[in-house]
Amino acid sequence: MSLLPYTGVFGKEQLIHLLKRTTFGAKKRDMIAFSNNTLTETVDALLSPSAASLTPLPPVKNYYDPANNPDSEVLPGKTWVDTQDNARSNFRRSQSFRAWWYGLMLQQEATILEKMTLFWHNHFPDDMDERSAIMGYINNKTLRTNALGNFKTFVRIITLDPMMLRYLNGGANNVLAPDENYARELQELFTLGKGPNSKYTEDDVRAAARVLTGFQISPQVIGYPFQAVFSPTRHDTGDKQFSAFYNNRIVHGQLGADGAKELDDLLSMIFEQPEVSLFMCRKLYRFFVYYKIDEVVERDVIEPLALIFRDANYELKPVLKALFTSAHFFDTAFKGAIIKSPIDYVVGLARECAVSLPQIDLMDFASIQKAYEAWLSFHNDTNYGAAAQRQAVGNLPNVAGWDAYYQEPNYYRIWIDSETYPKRIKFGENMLNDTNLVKIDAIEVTKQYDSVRQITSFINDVLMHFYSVSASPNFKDRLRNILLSGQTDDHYWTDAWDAFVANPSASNKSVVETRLKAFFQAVILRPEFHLM
Amino acid sequence: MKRRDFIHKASIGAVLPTLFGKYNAHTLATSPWLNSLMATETDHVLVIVQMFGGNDGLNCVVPVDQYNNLATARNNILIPENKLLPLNGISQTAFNPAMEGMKQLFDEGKMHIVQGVGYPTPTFSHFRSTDIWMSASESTENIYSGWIGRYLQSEYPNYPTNFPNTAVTDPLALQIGAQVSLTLQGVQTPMGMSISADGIFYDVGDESDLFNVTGYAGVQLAHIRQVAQQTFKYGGVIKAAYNRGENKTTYPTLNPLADQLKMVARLIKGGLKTRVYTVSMDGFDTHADQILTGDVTAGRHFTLLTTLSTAITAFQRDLEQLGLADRVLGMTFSEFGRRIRSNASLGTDHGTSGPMFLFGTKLFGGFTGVNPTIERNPDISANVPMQYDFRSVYASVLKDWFCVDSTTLQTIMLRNFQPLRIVNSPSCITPTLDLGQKDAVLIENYPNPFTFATTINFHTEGGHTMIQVFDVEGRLVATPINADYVAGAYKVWFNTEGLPTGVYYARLQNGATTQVRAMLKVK
Repeated sequence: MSLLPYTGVFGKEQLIHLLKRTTFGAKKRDMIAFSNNTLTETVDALLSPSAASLTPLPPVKNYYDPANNPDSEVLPGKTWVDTQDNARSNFRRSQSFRAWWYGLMLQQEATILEKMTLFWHNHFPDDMDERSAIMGYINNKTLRTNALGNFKTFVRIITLDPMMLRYLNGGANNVLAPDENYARELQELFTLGKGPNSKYTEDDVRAAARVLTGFQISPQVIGYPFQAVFSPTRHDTGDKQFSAFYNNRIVHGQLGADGAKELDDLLSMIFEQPEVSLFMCRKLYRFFVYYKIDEVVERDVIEPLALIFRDANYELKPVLKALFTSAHFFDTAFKGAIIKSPIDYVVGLARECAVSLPQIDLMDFASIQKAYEAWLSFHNDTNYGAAAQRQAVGNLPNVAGWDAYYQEPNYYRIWIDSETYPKRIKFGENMLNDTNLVKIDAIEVTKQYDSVRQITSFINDVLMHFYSVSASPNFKDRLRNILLSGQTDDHYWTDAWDAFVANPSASNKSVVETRLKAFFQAVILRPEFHLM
Repeated sequence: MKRRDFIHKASIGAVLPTLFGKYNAHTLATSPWLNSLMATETDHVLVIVQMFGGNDGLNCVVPVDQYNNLATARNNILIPENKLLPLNGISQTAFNPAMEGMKQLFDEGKMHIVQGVGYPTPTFSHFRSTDIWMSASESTENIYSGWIGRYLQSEYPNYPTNFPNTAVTDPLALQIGAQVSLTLQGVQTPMGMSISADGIFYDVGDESDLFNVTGYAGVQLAHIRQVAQQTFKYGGVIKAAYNRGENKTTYPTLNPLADQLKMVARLIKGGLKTRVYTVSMDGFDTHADQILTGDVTAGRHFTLLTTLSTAITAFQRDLEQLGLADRVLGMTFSEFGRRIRSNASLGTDHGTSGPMFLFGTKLFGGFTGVNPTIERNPDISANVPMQYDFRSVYASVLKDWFCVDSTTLQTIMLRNFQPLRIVNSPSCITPTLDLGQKDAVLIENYPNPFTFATTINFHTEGGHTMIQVFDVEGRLVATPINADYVAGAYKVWFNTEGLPTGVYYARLQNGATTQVRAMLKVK
């Protein structure tokens, strides 16, 4: 059984679905850019990030507090990523890193890169706050540059990533006392998973831990970033026997520097298991399509995708292309079936509402501070940002990632509970009511719609853009009432808008603005807006 | 008489047809009034403290009588004997020096420790094991509801339809500062809700013109709408309780667990009639730097235990000063213990069994179970043998704190688990039989060591008696005895053909009594 390609109409509705799933929110600019493209052309473009987005300029020092915390090694406005790690400045730097990352998400191109980077952050979690912002940045660079590359290569690189070596104690793993932490999660969470046919044993965990002995994080020297080094004296040179699941394979112990090569033997052995491709395709499916994988989905979607993945020697792009051009992906059953993650909600809200963000002049430190503060407001607790809504980048709850992507039976529903929902609402309210650093300008949102003069089409266009499910006739009536202030003739709205366009005086502006503010408040603060 | 008993009795007699004659079973079941009548009346509160990551029990409740063998197994992290906190009247066990407050609670008889708590055939995965503890499932099965969720569902079968109502105004369970965990998940719906630890509550309007959305999106939307409405519905009562409530002790600062418990005390004081609160702290996954290089009395685990102990102690003292202590029972759990041997990164890897702490004024202070026996030179994969199934502890709490009858208990716990003597609350009718821990040897084997087979001699007080044999990793390898017996001494021949050589633990369970015997198979 192969995955059937989508052959239906690729119109505005399908484009919005595709963009909401593969970028943060469906940005109007991108909808226009893709409006004349075929599905294949669109997906090809989404899978082709620019070189600039793959290797963006690094975060810079956006803080300056000579009295309390000078971090004097770095000049204001210059990057701290290539300097000495510094525990006293780690929090500031971590926040600088987070702001920077949000800047990239908020200003993303129309490609899947930012979504995939977040996908991998969830797949290979870290906890930057307890460790190092510099490592957090190096880790992000790894996720970003490998996001659409070869998964097998990626696993090798992440195994030796400094943050990962520290997070899962790989750097402490040595012949005298093997530390099983990474060896376990490598199999359980990163490659094979815990599916019914993933039958590696506790002895395999121990054997893999022995293979991985000897890697350490190099001491940091100015000008040289953290990196993995291999210490032969810490390596277990004995043979490592694996179980029947791995066909009783032996990874032969290597002496001296060759000990590091056992990692490749281990990964080759793991990647010979078809379970790797199945597990990863299930994980991609749960992130991009829906959490429920029954026998039919397993047979008709997961298995064909996994076969593509194996045939492509674990290249990611062919799998993603097959998924996003499939009939299954565009099955209307999945429209609106994902509850947005907090980041999807906050960043998507900004992009769908076309908010303007402060621009940076690298020569002007004040502009840097302002921009970083604005970006960080999408994360920070105090603004009810994504961290308050329980999705904090650089600080995952645990090594399995955010539980909305794996926890039976609720999955995405875990994002929304009586603690987080009011915070989501509060974030949206603040952005609509000028109390945030980044504000929604109701008039700018409205200008996105050509149909603005025709109230019925305008309402339909907005709801099609913002919601992935149908809204009730009652609700549409209420929206109409807001714009018409209870009057029944549509032309009152048309006249008001025309008057504002002809003469944007304060009074003409306030007539449309007060109504539009209430209108978008009603649209955004409803449960429907949390679906995509 | 409890209200539940009234209903049960009434339904047998002739009252029911006349009283409820015109209603069918469905209307009865959805009547909020009857719902409230069905539920057991209790002002008891249970507070569950989750210690995520797998707590190193041996560094927490230290078996002083095993100190020499422990010193060879975990020399690089072991706290010097003279730094340990001695317990009043107990010579063989002591606390980590970080647990000063908990030691005081123990000495005052306000703490009960169950030793060697685990489950057969353990998993070493944080996530699977957490799910097992929260769902109270076997390690071989997947259950998608939690033990408290099922308990609350047995009390309020129609929740959340027509809730809140005039009889039940408050949330059934609250998770503080984190998402609603599997513990509180009912079979169909979460039975609890969550709030922040910082006292911020929001007013959220709800909207009634809901459009029927079906399919997958409909499932998600229904959930969001339910939360939106609940937040709105319960927001008021929680806020009111918060405003009425107060705290009377100073809680430690920069302590997330203390923030959560402080909120719990305040809400209880404010009159919130929520039965179960769940709070949590993480960081117990101490693979590395469990202690500070060069100072075994400081480091990550010390900090964690300080956080735990100061938070729990402040909470208990607060309850005492608020006059609420007799109404509240606390209980900790962690998804597993850690290995007996330490690793070279000054840490410990994933293990199996560990101690559980219960605290409050309405319990029997002291221990259930004994110190684990530490072998002379334990294998790197050796684990603390299981003495009690965690579900026995849950069952004891439900039975003796919430007065759950034995039939319902079996439904909630999915199986029959023998309750232990932990809760000392006379409100439930049948006290647990006090078997206690015997000094007498109840299980032994001969020959030991053995090469092929051994005979296990055991003594039972009568009733259900079980012997399970575990390997050093806690895997259940055999259950030679599992039946009802007349009191007396018995023997069973245990054939170990096909089993690898090494240490095995034979665990006898008879009522609340368990004893573990180490057996050695040699070539």
